[in-house]
Amino acid sequence: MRCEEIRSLLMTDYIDGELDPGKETLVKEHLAACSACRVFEENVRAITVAPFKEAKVAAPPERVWREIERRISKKPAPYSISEKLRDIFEAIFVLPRMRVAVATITAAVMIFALIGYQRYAKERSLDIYIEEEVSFLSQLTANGVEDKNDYLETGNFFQGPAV
Amino acid sequence: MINIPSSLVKGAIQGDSAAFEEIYRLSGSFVYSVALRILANSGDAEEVTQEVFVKVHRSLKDFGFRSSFKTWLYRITTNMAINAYNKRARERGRRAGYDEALNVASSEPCAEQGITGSETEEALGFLLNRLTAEHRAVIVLRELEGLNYEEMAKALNININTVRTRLKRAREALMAHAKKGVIHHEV
Repeated sequence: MRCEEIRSLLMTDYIDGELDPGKETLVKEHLAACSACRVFEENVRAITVAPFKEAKVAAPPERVWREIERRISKKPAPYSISEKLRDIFEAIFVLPRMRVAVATITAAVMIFALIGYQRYAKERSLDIYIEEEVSFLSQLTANGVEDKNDYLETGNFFQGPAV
Repeated sequence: MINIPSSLVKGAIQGDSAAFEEIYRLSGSFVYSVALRILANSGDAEEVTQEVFVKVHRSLKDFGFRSSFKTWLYRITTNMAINAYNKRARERGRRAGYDEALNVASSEPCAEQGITGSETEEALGFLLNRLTAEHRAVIVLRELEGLNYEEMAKALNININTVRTRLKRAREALMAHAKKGVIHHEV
């Protein structure tokens, strides 16, 4: 195994005891033969492992439990709807992946809404045009009935009455 | 963290308040320590510890023993601590640091020995402050809580390769800072 692969294992599985026996043997054999990797292993242990060996467990102040006790005893129901909604809100807007998903869905909805509105507006303007034409035709006088026929005969419905 | 007896968990699920308090007494220090190491702030760690146990109390009926109670507790703790850290970082507000944590822990009666001021704790604080919240979480769970990769993957709800990658990145960051001379050589 190359030094680069060995050092990657030294930073993770080897130092954490997660290697299977076969690979562990390979690493040990390499370390026995490679002084640079041996020094690297010593540095990894000295800097990233040894300082935590003597770390102590921190105890929370008693007021933490008193506050927990107060909060859990005052609630009539263990899980109210508002808390459920809050958890859902946090899940949607706090988790990075959910934020991206929500933003993508929101953008898609807005785009479709805009396209839909534009189509609606276009159809609406056509409806308005047709309404105006019908209104115009209905305002024609009794003689306008003949005029209407003029429209139909000449086929110049959209171009105006035959002059 | 020591294992919580399933009989205690079952009692707490059935509404036994003494059982729930016993769960807190057995695991509260570990939850607080993990939160404190990730947040580097005693006030925030206290808040997160409260939130964790209130959430646990609320969600006990949904626990279902699908994982170990310890794993479930670690997952809630790291999620809340990381979220709180990222929120504070966004707000750009930091209160007291490790010094306050040392003073608070030694002035309150507690079941376990609190952190006392020492060069070791200062060095630890210095080291962890060099890391992101996610990297702190893996280092804390691995080096302070002694979880293996599989346990860490379940606690953090990520796959084992991601655990491995984050550990490697965290250690690389620590070694890079050591190389720059930021960390004292006796560490």
